[in-house]
Amino acid sequence: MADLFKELKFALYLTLHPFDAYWDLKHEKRGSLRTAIVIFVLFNLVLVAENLFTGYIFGGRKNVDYNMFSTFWGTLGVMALFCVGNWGLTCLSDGKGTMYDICTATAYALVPYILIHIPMIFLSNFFVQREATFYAVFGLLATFWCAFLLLVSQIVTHQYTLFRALIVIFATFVAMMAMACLLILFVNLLQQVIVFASIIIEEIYLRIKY
Amino acid sequence: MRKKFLLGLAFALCVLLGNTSVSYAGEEYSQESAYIYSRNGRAVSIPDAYEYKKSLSLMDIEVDGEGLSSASDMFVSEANKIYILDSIKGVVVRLDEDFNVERIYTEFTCKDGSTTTLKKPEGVYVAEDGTMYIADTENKRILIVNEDAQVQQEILKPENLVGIKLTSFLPTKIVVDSTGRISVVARNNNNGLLQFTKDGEFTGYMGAPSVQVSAMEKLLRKISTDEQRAQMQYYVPTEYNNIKIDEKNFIWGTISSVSAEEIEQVIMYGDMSGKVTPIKKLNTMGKDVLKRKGLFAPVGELYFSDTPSKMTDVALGENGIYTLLDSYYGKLFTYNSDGILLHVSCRKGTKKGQLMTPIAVDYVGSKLYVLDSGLGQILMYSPTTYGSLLIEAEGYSVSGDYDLANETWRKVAERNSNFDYAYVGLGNSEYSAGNYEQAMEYYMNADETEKYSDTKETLRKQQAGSIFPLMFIAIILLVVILTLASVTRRVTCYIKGETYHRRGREDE
Repeated sequence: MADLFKELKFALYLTLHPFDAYWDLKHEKRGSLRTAIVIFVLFNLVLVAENLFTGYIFGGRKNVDYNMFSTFWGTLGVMALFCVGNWGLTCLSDGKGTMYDICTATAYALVPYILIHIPMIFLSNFFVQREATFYAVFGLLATFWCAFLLLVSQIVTHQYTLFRALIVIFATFVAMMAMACLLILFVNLLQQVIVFASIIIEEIYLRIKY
Repeated sequence: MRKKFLLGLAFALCVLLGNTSVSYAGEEYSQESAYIYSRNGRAVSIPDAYEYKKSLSLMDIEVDGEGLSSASDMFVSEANKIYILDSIKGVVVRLDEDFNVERIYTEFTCKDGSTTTLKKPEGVYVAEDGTMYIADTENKRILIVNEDAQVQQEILKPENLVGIKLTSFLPTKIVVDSTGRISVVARNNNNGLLQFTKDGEFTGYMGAPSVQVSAMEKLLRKISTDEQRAQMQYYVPTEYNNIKIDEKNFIWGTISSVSAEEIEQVIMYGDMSGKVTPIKKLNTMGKDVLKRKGLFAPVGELYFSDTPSKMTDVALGENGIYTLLDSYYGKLFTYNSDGILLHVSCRKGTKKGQLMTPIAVDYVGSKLYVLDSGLGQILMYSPTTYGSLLIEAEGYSVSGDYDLANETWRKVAERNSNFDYAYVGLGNSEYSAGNYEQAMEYYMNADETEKYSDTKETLRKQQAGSIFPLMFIAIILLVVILTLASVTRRVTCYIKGETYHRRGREDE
C-alpha cells in the first residue's frame, strides 16, 4: 500500500519531469504495472464521471442509458491495440522496450488527463456559454500534455531519437487500424462458422425429433 | 492462485455487464396525424390542431344554370365575407362565413353604361369599403368595381415604362394596401410586383425575387456564345405565385419555383438568411423581413424524395401566426411570428377533409378555409382544443402577459410533450418572473442551450460576482499554500539538521 502511494507520487513527478522519470521508471523500478493499472482505472473513472456530471452546456442532456462498461471496453481495447502494435514494431525499429515497459509507460502518460479533467468537471457546472473557450483550452492542455508524455515515453523506453519516435508512433496507429480490421474480419468469419454450425445442428435435431 | 481466480471472475462479470443495453420506444409518426419536426429533423406526431368541419361544394352555386367548376382565387375580407373567383364563368361570388351565398357578380356596368364581363380572372382583393380589385387576366387589365357592380376604374398595360420591358400585361394576383397603393403579380414577369397608385398610375417594380442560378449554369453562361445565352434566358426567372397583405401593409409573397437542391442545402446547413425561400414578407422598400428564428427555415417539408413543398398561398392569422399552403403535398404548415413551426396539418387524399389540388387558404378568425379546385370545394377547418390553446399561448407571449402565458404553455405542454417551443415559452415566462432555476430546467428540457446559458449567467450574477474573481483567488491561495508548504519543509529540515531534498529526489 505504501509502495502504491510512493509510486503514485512518482507519477505526479513524471508529469513535470518526463525525461528523468521515464528513465527511472524503466531502470530503477520506481513505478510498476500495478500502479499503471490503478492509473488506467482512474482514467476510466474520470471518463465515466465526465459523462455523468458535466454541466448541461458542455455535455448536453445526459444519456439516460449510459453504460460505463462501454467506456471501459473502449479504452482497454485502444490501449491493448496500441501496446501490441508498439511492441510489434520494436522488432523493426530496434526498440529496447519490453511489453511490460510499454504498458506501464503508456498508462503513466494518462495522468495529466486525470489531473486536469477532474477540476474541468466542476467548472463545467459553473461556466456559461461565453466562457466555453476557457473550458476548451483546459481540454486542449490536457490532450497535448498527454501526447507529449507519450512521445517522451517512446523516446526514453525504446531509446529512439525524436524523429524515429514520431515515425514509430505513426506506424503504431497504422498497425492498430490493421489489427482492428483483421479482428473484425475474424469475428465476422467466426460468426458465420458458428451460425452455420448451429443451423446444421438445429436441422439435425428437428429431423430426429420427427 | 485464488487472487487470479477472483480477478478472472471480476473480468467475466465486466464482460457480462458490459453487454447490457436498454431498449426504448422511438418517436412515433403516424401517416395521418398532425406533426412537427423535432430538433434533429425527425417528424413527431402531435395532437391535431385543426379538424375538418364542413365544406361547400362550388357546383351547388348556380350561375346560368350550371355550377361553378373552376375557382381560381378566394379572398376573405375584413368583414369576414368570402369572395370566390371563378375563371371559366368569370364571376365573383360573395359568401358569408357559413357558406350562404350573398351575391353573385356576373357583369359590371361601366361609366358609359355598357356592361363588361371578366375573362379568366385569377385574382381578387376586396378593400374595407367593399371595393373589389379584380385581376382580369385574359382581358389584360385590372378592374376596380364597387359593391354595386359599378366599374370605378380600369388599369391597362402601363405605357410609361422606362427601360423595363413588359411584353404582355397578364395580372394574376393583386393586393391593395391601406393607402390605396395597388401591388400586382403579373405572369411571365420576373422583375417583382408591379405597383400602381390608387389612381392607376404605374410607379415601378418592387420586391423582385432573387434570381437563382446554379453554379453549373453560371459556368455554362460564361463559356457560351451570345446566341446560346439568349436561348438560356428561359431558365432564369422566378416569380411570385400569390401575395397577401397584412394590416401593417407588409406584403407576403409565396414562390413555388424553388429547386429541390437549393431547399436541401437550406435544410442541411440550417440556412436562415432567406436567400432561397418559398415565402417572403416584404416591407415597403421591397426587403424581405420575415423572421426566421426557428430550428429550421420556413420551407415546409424537410424530408422529401425529389420534390420540395410547393407553396401556393399564405394565410395570415391572429397573433402573428401564418399558414403556408403546400399544394404538392396538400399540407398546411403553420408557423408563429418568429418562424417556429407550430404544426403541420392536412394531407392529400380522398377521405373527407383531405385535399386534392388546393389553391388558396385564408383565416377567418381562427378558422381555416381552403379552396380546392380539384375537389371543387371550400373546406372549413376549425381549431381543436389544442389548436386554440396554441393560438392563445402565442397571443399572451406576444402581448407580454407572463402569468397567463405560463398557464397556457403548461396546458400546451401537457397535451403535447414533443413540442420544444412550449417549454421554451414556459422558460421565457419563468425567466421574466425571476424564477431562474425553473427557467433553466425548462430550457434544458427544450434543449435551448443559448437561453439556458443566459439564464445561468443572470443567476450567477445574482448569487455571487462572476466566476473569475473566485477562480483567481483560488489559484492565488493554491500557490500561497504550496509555497508555504515547501518553506515549512525547508525550515523543519533546517531545524532538525537534516539535508533538504527536493520532492521526488530523495536519493540525492
